Amino acid sequence: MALLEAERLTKDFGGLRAVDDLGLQVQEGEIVGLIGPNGSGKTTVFNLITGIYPATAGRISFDHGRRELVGLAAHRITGLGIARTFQNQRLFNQMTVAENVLVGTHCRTRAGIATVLLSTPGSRAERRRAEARASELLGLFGDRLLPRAARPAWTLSYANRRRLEIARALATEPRLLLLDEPAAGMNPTETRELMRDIQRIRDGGVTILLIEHDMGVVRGICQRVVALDHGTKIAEGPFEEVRQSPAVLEAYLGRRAGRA
Amino acid sequence: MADVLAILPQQLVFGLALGTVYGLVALGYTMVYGILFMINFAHGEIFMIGAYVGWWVLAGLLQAQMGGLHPAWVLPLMLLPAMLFAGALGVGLERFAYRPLYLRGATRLGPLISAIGASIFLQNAVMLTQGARMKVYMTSLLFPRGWRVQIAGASISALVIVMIVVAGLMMWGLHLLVQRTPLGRSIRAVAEDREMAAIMGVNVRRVVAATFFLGSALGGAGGVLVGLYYTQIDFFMGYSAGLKAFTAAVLGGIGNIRGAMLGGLILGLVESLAVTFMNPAYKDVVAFALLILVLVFRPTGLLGEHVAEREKV
Repeated sequence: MALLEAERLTKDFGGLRAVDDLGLQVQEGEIVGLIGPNGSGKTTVFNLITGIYPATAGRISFDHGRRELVGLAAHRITGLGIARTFQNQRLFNQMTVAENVLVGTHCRTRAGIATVLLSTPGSRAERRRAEARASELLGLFGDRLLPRAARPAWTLSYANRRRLEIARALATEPRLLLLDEPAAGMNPTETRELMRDIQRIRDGGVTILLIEHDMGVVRGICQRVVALDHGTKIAEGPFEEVRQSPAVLEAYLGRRAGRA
Repeated sequence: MADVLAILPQQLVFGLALGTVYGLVALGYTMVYGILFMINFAHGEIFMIGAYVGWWVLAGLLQAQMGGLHPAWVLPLMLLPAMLFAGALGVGLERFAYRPLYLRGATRLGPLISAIGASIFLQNAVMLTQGARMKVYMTSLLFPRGWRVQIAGASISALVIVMIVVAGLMMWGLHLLVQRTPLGRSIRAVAEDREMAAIMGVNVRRVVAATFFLGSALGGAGGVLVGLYYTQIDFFMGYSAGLKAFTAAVLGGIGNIRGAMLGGLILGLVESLAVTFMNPAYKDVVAFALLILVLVFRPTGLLGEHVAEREKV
């Protein structure tokens, strides 16, 4: 089985069916693009995978069919190895850049209230490991984040905030990383840099599923693309194939243009 | 007037002692508000029960002739069980009185009303089991009246200094815990964006429980210190003390930990100044008038931020 596999996934909001009987597979080591017009249910799929919304119906299995995600609390899903970023950045703005990343490392450490209060040698070693890991992750983006580690997160530039979101997500040591429009608002240079960063993260052993409206990014780094419209899958395959599929043209451009 | 100035240093030290204890109790209100946006109106009763636990320990020790213990051990022996019991009580309240409500998506009023109910329940439980008559803290056996220190013309009892030191150390400890430890970071993460914290792998329920434990334990310690200071406690003492501590929390900016400490200090100092310069009967009038004034000019409190941005959670 695939690393992530959603079967007959459905989500209703009142009378609106946001995701409709969706099947989705992500193989270990892939970079998969999830595309579709606004409101096609892409972010809802992310919210279902990460446990923010409960699914109305269907199953999501992770770790090659060994784990069922539907019904698990969000922090448990993160613990299993799925991390994500948000389309509208949601950093912990009052915390420093380094602290944002450190929060993510906690789910891999076991420091509870007792060990914190007693400050055991084990907990101190764990803290040092977490701090070393945080600098390593900030260092992934060259000198973009590391020199700013002690500043509050809200002082970062837009692109750096996006980078910090990724570093923070990686701190939970995911096997699967969900990126929600990572290139939104970036200039062409930053976007190229981001594409290289994403490929490097994948080469480091993290599978990636990303939502993106910048087709240059999708074409550049995604092996496979899944197109959604009205919550259903309308095409799947290599980018060029999906781009030329009549259903996709219709979804993006409207019925008449699709026929033309 | 000369008389008033002569006792001023002394009054300021009293105010400082009272203020640190208000701050200690205020922390419980502000921490819970910071992560759940709810006022734990039963916090005053947790404070009161902490005072009772301290009283049981003290009475037990006195009955056992101190068990041969050096008196310096008595205060830690009173504080520790009081804090553990109060902390556990806070966690229990959250688990059984508040969590079932907010998990089922009750409005914010739901847990609030449940907290008022818990407050009445705890008052009556203590009244029925411990009696309605006040209990006397044998403070003078622990801190003989003769133990006084002369500072700048003020004669300060040892107890007041111990209160300031104990409450100050606890606030410092909490500050370090919140700023420097993984648990503290998790608490701040949950306070800022609960859903995002869960996505980062933070077990939100456990963090909420830990927050209740910490806030309630500090409240329990405050109960012991106030019991020692006023030398008598009863089942109703949590009402007015809780109201004062809540005022301190709002004054400093509710949800803000440093704000609670600052609010407590200001409130304690202002009260003791009011007692010095006016009829002592007006001290509450002065305290609440100050609160109203601050809220008129700074509706979010002295160190508070606008929570509007966080409301999206």
